[in-house]
Amino acid sequence: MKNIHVSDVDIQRFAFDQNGCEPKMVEHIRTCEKCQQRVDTYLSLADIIKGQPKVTPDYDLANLVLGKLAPSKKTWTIYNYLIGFIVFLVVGVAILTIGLYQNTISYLLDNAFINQAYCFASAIIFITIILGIDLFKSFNRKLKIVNA
Amino acid sequence: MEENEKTDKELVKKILEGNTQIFEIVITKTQGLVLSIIYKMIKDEEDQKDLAQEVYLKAFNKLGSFNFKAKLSTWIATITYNTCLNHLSKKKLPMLNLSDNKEKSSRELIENQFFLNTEIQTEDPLIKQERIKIVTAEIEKLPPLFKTIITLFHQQELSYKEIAMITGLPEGTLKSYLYRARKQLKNNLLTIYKKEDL
Ligand SMILES: [Zn+2]
Repeated sequence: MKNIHVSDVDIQRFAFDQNGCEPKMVEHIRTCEKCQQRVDTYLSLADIIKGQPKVTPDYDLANLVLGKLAPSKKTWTIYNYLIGFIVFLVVGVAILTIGLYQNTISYLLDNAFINQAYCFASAIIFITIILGIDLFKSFNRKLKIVNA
Repeated sequence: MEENEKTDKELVKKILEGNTQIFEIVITKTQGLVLSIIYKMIKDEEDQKDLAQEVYLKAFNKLGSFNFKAKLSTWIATITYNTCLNHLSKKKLPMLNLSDNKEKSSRELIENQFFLNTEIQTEDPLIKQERIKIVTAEIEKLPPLFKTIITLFHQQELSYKEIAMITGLPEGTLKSYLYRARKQLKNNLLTIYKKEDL
C-alpha cells in the first residue's frame, strides 16, 4: 500500500479540505514522506497566491460612482424648498378657506353629496401631490444615472 | 458574522431611506473583493474601470431587492461576477478553456525544488517577493474562471459556499475546478522552473 501514492486530487483535498478525506488516505499521507512533500508543495503554492499584490486602482471608485448616483446637495436643497413651499401653500389655502367661509362650509357640510365630493377631491389632490413628488425624485435620479 | 449582518442591515436601510452618501461606505468595504474579481476576469483596463462602476450602479438600483440571506459583499460579488460574465459573452471571450496542458510525470521529480528548496516561512523576503511575482504572472495565464476562483479562495479567503454562491457553480464542480486550477498553475510553474534551471 505504501508504494501506491495517493492521487493529486486527494493530495489537494488533504491540503485544503481535510473534512473530505478518507481515513486510509490520511493515514498514508501522514506516513509517506513523498506524499507529505506533495502536500507541502500545494500549501506553499497557496501561501504564495495569498501574497499576491492587492488590486489598487489609480482612480477613486467611490467618487466616480457617487458622482453618477446622487444629485448635488445644492439641487436637493432647491427641491426641498420647492416641496416645502407647495405644502405650505396648500395648508395655508385650506386654513384661509375654512376661516373665511365658515358659514358656507357649515352649510355645505349639511349637504351630504357635496361633503363626500369635497373629501374625495381633497384625497385625490393630496395623493397626486405625493405621487408627483415621488415620481419627480426618482425620474431625476434615473436621468442622472442615464446621463452619466 | 452577526455583527457584519447588523452593519449590512443598517447601511442598506439608510441608503434606501435616501442617504445616498452612505453608499460610499459600501463601496469602500467591498471594492477589494469586487475589483479582484473584475481584474481577474477582464483584461482591458478601460473595461475594468467601466465594469467596476457598472457593478455599483446595478447594486445601488437593486438594493431594495437585497434579502440579507447572504452577506452584502457576497451579493455585490455575485453581481460583479455576472456582469463580467455578460461582458465576456458579448465579446465572445471564453471563460474556461478546457484543453489544459497534460501533466508530465517527470515534473514530479523537480516539483519540490521550486517550492521547498528553502523553507517558505523563513526564506529571504526578496526571494519570496520574486516567487510571488512569478506566480502572479502565471495566474494571469490561467482561464478567467480559474484565475477568479483561485483568487477568491486563496487570497480573499472566501468559503466554498460563498464562491459557489457568487459563481453559481455547484460546490462539487467548484472544488473540481479548484483542483484543476491549482494543478495547472503548479505544472506551468514547474515548466518555467525547469527552463530557468537549464
Ligand atoms: Zn505516498
